[in-house]
Parts: sequence; C-alpha cells; structure tokens
Amino acid sequence: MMKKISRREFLRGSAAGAALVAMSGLTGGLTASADESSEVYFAPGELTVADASELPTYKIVFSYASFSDKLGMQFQESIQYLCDAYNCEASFLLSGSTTDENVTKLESTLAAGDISGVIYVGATPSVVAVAEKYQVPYVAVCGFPSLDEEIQALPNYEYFLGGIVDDDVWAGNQAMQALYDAGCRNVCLSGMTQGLVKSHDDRATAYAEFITSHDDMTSLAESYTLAENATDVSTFAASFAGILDGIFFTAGRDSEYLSMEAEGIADGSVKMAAVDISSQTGTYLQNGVQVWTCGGQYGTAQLGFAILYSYLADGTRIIEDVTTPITRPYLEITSYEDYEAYCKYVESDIPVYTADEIAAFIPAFTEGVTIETYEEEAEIFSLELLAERR
Amino acid sequence: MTNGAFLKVDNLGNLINQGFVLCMIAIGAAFVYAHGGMDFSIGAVSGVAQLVCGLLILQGTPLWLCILATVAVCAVGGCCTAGITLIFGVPVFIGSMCVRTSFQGILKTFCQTSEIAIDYQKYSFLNTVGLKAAILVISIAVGYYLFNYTVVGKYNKALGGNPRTAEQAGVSRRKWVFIAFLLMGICVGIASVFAFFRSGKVNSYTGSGYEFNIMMAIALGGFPMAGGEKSKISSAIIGALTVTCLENGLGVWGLDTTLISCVKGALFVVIVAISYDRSAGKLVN
Repeated sequence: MMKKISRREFLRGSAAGAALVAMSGLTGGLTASADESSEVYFAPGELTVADASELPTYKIVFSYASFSDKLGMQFQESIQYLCDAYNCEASFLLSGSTTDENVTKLESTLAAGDISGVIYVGATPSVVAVAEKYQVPYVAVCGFPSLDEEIQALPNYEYFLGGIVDDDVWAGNQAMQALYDAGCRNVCLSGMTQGLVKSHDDRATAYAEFITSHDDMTSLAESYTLAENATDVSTFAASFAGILDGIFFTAGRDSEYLSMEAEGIADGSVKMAAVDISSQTGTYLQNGVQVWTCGGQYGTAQLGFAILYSYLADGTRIIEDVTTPITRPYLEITSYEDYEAYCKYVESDIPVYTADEIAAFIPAFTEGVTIETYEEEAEIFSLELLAERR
Repeated sequence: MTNGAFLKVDNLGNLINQGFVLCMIAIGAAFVYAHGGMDFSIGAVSGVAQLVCGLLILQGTPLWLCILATVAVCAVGGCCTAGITLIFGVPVFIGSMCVRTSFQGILKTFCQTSEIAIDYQKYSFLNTVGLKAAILVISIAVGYYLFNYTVVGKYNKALGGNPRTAEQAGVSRRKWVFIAFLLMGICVGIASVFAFFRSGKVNSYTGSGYEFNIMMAIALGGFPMAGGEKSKISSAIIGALTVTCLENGLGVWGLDTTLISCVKGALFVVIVAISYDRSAGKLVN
C-alpha cells in the first residue's frame, strides 16, 4: 500500500522534477560536463566586397544535434558570424534523436513561412522532403546519408543543393596509423550507431580496413551507440584489463577522458585517438595519452553557408551532382605543438573563414566561382595555410 | 504570435501528420489508463514493429502483409505486458519495463550496425494528410463507441474506479485488462505503420519517447491518471491534439527547441499535480 503523501511533499518533488527538466532543456542534456562548455567567440566580421546593409536579409536555419558541446558552439558562432556579416538572420534548430522528430521539428520551423534556406548537419530523404515541400533550399554539411538507397533518392529533390563534408575515411585511417605507430596492437572502437550518419560510418570503416590490413593488430571490441562513449570505456576497461592498449573514438568528447581517468587507464597504458577536439584534448596530448585528433569542421559548415548563399543570391548551384558531396580535409593534430597552433588559428576570435574569404566562394561576389574553387581549396587546406593567411 | 502561420492550410496538414501517431496511440491508451494501468513499452514495441515492417518491405513482401505484421507485433507486445502483469502479479510499471527492455534489445541487435531504410518516395502515398485524417476519424469513432457503449470501456473504467467492487460484481480483471492492452497494441501498430512511412527508416532509437508523450497527452487532456468512472476517451484524444498543437505552435512561433521541452515538462508537472487523486492517495493503480 503506497504511503499517502501530502500535497506539499508532492509539489516539492514536482518542483524538483520541473527544475530538473528545465535545466535539462536549457543546457541541452544533464550529461554535459562543465569542461564541454568552453567559450567560443568570434569577433564581429566585416564584409568589404559589398555593402552588407544593402544585401537582402535572408533567414537561414542551421540544424545540429547539440549546441552545448564545443563543436556545436563552433557551428553556431561561425554561422552567426557569417549571418551578421551578410545581413542575414540566423536561426538554430536542435535536431531530434529520431528521424520522425527531425521531420516534425523542421516542418514546424518552415511552416512559419519566413525561412530562406536550411543548412543541416546530415541529410535523409524524409527531412529533405520537408524542405522540398516548402520550396526552401537545403544544404547538407558535415554529414551525408549512409545508405546508397538514400543517396540515390536525393536528386529527386529540386531544392536539395548537395553536401559538403570532411574526409572521414582519411581521418579514420590516420587515427589508426597513429595508434599503430604508438605501439597499440589490441584496440577497441567506440563509434556511433551505424547507418545513422555517413561520417561516423566512414571512420568505422577505415578502422575495420586498417585492422584487416595489419595482421599484428587486433580489434578486441566494437561498440556502436549514440553518445555512450563513456560507458564504452568502462566496458572495454573491465573486459580487457591488461590487454587493451588503444581506443579509437569516432567522436571525441570530454566524458571519454573522464571515464578513462575513472577506470584508471589514463596513465598511458592505453592510448586514444579521436575525431573532434574537446576541452581536455590539450592535456591529453601533453601527457601522451592521446596520440591523434583532428578538427576544424566548422569551416566546412561555413562553406555550406557559401553554397546556400550562392543559390539564394542568383540561383547558382555550385554542386551539379548532388549524390557526391564535396570532401574536405580535417585539420590534423598529432602533438601538443599542433594543438597550440590549432588553438591560435582555429579557436581564436577569427574563424577559419572570414566574411570576405567566404565571399571568394560566392559567384555573386567573385567571378568564376565553380565547384572547382571549393575542390582546389580542399586540396590545400591545412593548419599551415591558416597560419599563412593570418 | 505566429502571424497566422499556425492556421495556414499546410500547417493544419502538418498538425494531422504530426499528431496522427500520438492520437492513434491515445485511442488505445484510453482503455489501459481507464483501469489505472500504464505502459512504458509503447516506444520499444513500436520500434520493433517498424523494424519488422522495414525488413519485410525490403524482402519484397506485399504491403498489406507488412502492415498486418506491424500491427501484429504491437498486439503481441501489448499482450506480453498484460501477460507479465496478470500472470506474475507484478505491478504494470514493472511488467511494461520488462517488455520495454526486451524489445529495445531486439531493436538494438538488428539496428546497431545498420539502419533500415526504404524507398521513401515510393511509399509517400501513405504519408498523405487525407489518408491519415480518414483513418483517424474512423479510429476515433470506433474507439469512442467501444469505450462508451460497450463493456470493454465500461468494465475497464469500473476496474479503475474500484477494482475490488468490480471483481465482486463479476468483472474479470484478467480478461478485461488483457483486452485493453490488446486494443492498445493494435492502435500502436496502426500508428507504427504510418510513423515508419513518415520517416522512411528505422534505427535503434526509433520509437523512443512515445510512452512519455502519451502520458503527457493523457494528463494534459484531463484524463485521470488513476482511471475510473471519470475517464473519457475524448480527454485522451484532446490531450494528444493539445500536445501536438503546443509543439507545433511553439515551433512555428520560433521558440528555441530546448525551451519547448521545458514548457512541456512544466506543463506536465502542473497537470499531474492538479489531477492527482488525493483521496485515493495514489497516482496510478
């Protein structure tokens, strides 16, 4: 028989629950650690190739899974920076955990009727169909469908402008090479649910191919979840104590470092490599636990803005074959010195691409811009190039 | 607040598209909540049902058979929850959590290494507003009749109001609770069919959150959480429509999506606090 509680006790509990829900909503999830909320700031940029006040005001929606982690904040701030410089209005939409949620959220957002374009991290036919229904151009950045059936369906949507992504196969291969060079022979993979997004699939594929091509390297376990990497560390540590010597994370997060410390494997006995830079990366590169990482994806999102703006300005479609995204390199970091350079040139108050540098990718401002312009940039893009530009 | 965008024809169509799943589940959930039960396995069961639908479609199975199989999986899920609760005498909360864990495991096993995706455009005819509106109207009519004019609804309400008296009056708790869960399973199945064709794919997180959304809809509509004679199926449906309109309206207005979750959570707490059965000293049976 349940104990009868007073209304005061119930409301006190309800108030606590409501506060918890409110905090969860405001911070984007209770699991976000303090370390993940590092400040990201870009000084206001100025467009010199045109009078921004005379440019039409486009309202652009940018959608990503989270704006409270470091990468999410970089996405948000860099797009806001460009929108401010180009006299546009930015709106940020949190994507859901299921496709149905993504469709619903984008539907409700576009139903307002004032959205000029969508930049979305990822693409799936049902979500692209929503943009098609509202005749709103859609650019996929840093994520592309994983299944061939979905990719082949994309040309059916007139308002799908294509995608621009980072070279995840290269990233996976480089990460595994770094672990191999560090002496790791018994490794585990902590990845994202396969089929969810191509970027993580490609990294995992590179992992598997590297293992196959190196007879003296063994994959002890592979885990594919949605952001449960910290739990993976605990499982790997418990299951393979004394054997495990390397972990490849397809997404780098502070919670992974914390979990390694909690499990007592952050003493150098286990090396790690991860895609994405978080606030603890510098510490772990310095103490030798982390042997490799890469980042700078928000620059790719900025070029996604350029692709979208090219269409909005004069109808130019940069990408003709929308089934093949433009692929760009990550910024590779293999040492603490690299990390310092990354912080100086990528995480300063000047973003990867300034407003004028983005104008160089928009035909309305720069004559002769084609997809080759983007591809040539991708071939030379590196930390050294950024250092020269600054 | 939305400059008329909320009431535009295409957004009204969005409301039907977005609210179909919740409304359909609410029709069946009314029977379960009427006797004071609840079901935390709805989302996981729906996920597995959508997985089955996707796999069968990719195998070339006729569409009608895929739909039937999807509904059958959900009916089985409902029966499992009822069975565990009735046969083993465990609280329905525990029974439904067991089913939820099991079905989530099945979903993750099949989907952890690959999503299941179909040709979205080929089946877009199942994603039309007209079809969904028609099915919803028919389902509401059938559900309303069963709930208010047949023993299915009356006996479940009686069990929710006073289970001992109802049983002493000859109402078989096992039989009618089982039928309630079976009905809900069928409704979840129909909802799952259309949810699958709306997204075009299944992954290990498909269906997540359904159970909490339906609880919110039930509470928001004024349906007593402990069931009983004051239970009305119209409350459940109105609650589902209200949740849909709330989410859609706030989204059209342009409110940050994180704040939409805050608003929903706060509203849920307030509604539960108001509808809490203080005289009975319980939230649910």
